[in-house]
Amino acid sequence: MRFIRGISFLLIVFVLMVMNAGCWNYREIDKLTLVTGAAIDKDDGTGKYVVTVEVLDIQPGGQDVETTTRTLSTEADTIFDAIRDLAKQTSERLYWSHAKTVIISRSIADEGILPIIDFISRDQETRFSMFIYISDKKMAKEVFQAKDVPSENVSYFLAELKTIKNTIPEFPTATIKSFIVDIYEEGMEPIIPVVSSIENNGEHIPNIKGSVVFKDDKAIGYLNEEDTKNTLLIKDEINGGVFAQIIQSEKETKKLTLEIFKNNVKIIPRYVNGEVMIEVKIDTNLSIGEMMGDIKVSTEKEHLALKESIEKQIESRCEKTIKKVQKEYGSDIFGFGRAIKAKMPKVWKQIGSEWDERFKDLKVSVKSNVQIRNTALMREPIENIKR
Amino acid sequence: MKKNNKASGNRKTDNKEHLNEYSLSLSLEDNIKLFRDIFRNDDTLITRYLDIPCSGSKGCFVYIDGMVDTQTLSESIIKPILDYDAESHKKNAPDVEQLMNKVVASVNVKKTDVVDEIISAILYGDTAFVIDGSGDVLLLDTKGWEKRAIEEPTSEKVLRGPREGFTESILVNLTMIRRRLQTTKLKFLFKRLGQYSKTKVCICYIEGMASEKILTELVERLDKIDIDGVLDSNYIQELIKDEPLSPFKTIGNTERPDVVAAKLLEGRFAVIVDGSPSALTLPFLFIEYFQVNEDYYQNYIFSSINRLLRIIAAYITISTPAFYVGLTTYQQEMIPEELLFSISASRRGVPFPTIVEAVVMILIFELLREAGTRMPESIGQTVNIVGALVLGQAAVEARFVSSPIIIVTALTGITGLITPKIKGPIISLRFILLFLSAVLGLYGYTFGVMGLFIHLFSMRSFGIPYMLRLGSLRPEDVKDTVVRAPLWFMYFRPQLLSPRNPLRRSKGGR
Repeated sequence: MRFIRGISFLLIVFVLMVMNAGCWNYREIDKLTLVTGAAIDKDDGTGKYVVTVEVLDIQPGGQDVETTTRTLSTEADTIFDAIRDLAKQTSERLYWSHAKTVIISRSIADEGILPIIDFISRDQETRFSMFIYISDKKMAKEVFQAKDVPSENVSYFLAELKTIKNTIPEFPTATIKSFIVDIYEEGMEPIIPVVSSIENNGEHIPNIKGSVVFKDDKAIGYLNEEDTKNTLLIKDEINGGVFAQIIQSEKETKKLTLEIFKNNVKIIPRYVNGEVMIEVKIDTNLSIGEMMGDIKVSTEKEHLALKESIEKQIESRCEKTIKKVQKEYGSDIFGFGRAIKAKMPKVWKQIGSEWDERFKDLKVSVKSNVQIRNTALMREPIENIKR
Repeated sequence: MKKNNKASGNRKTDNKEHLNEYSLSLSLEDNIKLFRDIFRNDDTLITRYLDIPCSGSKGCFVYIDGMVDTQTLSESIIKPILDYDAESHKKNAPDVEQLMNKVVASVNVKKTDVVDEIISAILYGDTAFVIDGSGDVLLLDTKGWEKRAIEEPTSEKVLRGPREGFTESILVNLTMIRRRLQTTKLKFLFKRLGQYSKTKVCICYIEGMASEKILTELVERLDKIDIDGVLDSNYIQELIKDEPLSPFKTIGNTERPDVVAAKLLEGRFAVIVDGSPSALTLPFLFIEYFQVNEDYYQNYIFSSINRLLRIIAAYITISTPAFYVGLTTYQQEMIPEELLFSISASRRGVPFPTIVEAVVMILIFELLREAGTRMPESIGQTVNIVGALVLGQAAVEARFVSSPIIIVTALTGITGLITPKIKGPIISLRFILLFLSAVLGLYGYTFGVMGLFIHLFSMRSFGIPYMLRLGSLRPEDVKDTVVRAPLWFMYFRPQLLSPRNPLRRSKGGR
């Protein structure tokens, strides 16, 4: 009797488990078409969305599997509609959990990308960690035509680029999540990297070039690589990488390359004479990686002179970029508003509502403090030692 | 009982059903006829008549061929009787009493007239000496049959440690335990079980250390056993265990006297069964599956690592197939991309669903394993080659199965062999979890594991919780579980097993 009761109890538990969980979805792994990324365009004529997905083309095989990709494309009124429609072209279900990249065309970005992001953030398969790129081509789907990448997998190539960000800090990373956070946070606007392509041996390779400045979810401008780098420096997103320093004198041009080890940025809002000011303090720890020309660093005086010239250059670069963003776009991509809100909530209450206007005239001063850690294996250029 | 009476009543023979209906008479011929009657149709019964020179009367040895040591019988029993000269001792003709006390050179002699006792003694290799004119019979200890030598048990090999293993002979086994624990506190209680086999069963324990409650319970359970024959200790194990439906053991077994001695020292009981080289130890707790005697003969760090490996292996072997099926058919998002691509690639073109693949491959592995244990050694190589082909490259190349499932099966199989003691429950659990995750994915698997733990925690072995102290993190409780603490650090015996004598060492101080 106890046994029968136990069994029927188990049965009830089992039935409830099935009913309540809704985890019914038995699907074989080989019956799924794995999506690696998507590109979204808008057809100017019909006004419909053109959704292009890059899917893995896996050939059956035991030992050495050659996976390549192919693209599928369709038009529909909404994104979800288009994605369901795409399944017709594969006869298999599209599986989005491993999709890593979404590329949006510039024309859609100009109109606002929240409608596009909605599906990606709502669906349970697509992930918040997908990377967003803006295409500078006419159609975003052209990016997928680049074939000279590993496994022809452009989406994963773009996603993998984030791993070299520490050595080449020239572009920001934007994910669905970071974009949504930036939009909803007051005093902060997102930037999204731009994907373009360069030619290499006649083949196209996707290439990231600068970034697009957003205001809310609309693209309003473009920052070149130099400006993007400076922006990242102010946003404290650089913790590595190199930048070149040119020392101009009457006689000759000397160049040296500096390698950043550590970078620490403090954005300090100040209230001076009834006016809000921002002071950006950049502490950089770097070493000299390359010297071209007769540069002396052996004595303390020379060392200090070099340090000062580097500091000056960092300050002027950053100020230039800030000015440009303030004047041309008026979008607070540096998060100055956020800093004010955090440090001076009372002031923010007064000025927060009109921050867009205030930002344009905000006084910003940049203070750089450089610490030259070492000069790598050599102290001075070889020609100096010879003498 | 009623049935039996009816059946015997219908029979026309005058054979008596019960031994206690027989009784001995004074006539030698009648008595021998009586034995012949009891052992009818049994030609191994030998009757050897002889004249007893000193008394002039006749006598007869009754024994079973092959069960007695004929040399002992002739040298130390028949020869002294024939040589005994009553005249020279100036005594009267010896009666049975005198024969027993003065003539026979046997270690163990007993006078009796109970037929039941005589018969069981004869069946156990003793010789009955029946004398004309006497109602009593002498039982002479002449046991002597072929025995296996003491060897290292093949199922519990060690690199370091004693290599003695139990044999089929209960007395030899008991001496092996006795040699290890030379104290009068070590008790041996004998019982005979089995209507027909009359198997000798011995309960061993250390008085004052083992719990008396468990002893009463054990004796009670053994007394309730009603079975025709006890051929191996597993008969008893299965008849007296707690949770009879569970695949898990609640009574342990070992072929090693050193293990039995160690268990006795922890306050456990051992049951030795005649004819079986494996002794039972009880109560048996879950953690004992992973405890191996070698753990205590080696460095404690090494032992702890080994024990951890065994536990992990047991976990892997029940979970891997279920995990694989759950991940590849429900939770694909949890598989890293590269792995997903290669699984997807190798799955393409395979005709069967993943769950079928998994079940078939695990079944094939179990078939090979079973074939390996049952087959004669000479054809072992054939099985190996066929097994390697079926479970390997050929199956993948023919695209019958995908290659990941081979890896899963191999991992499952190898880890399953690390702890052979837990083999039984592992096979059933593996399939239960596999089916659960085929129906519900990792969700079902999780529920399976939860169910498993609820089951384990609800079990008891002779009143002791099966997962005793496994939920605790107190240092005192972890000492001999997942890790094996150094011996000098283990002051206490398991408390519930040995409530009145908890200290392992005489001082017990730190």
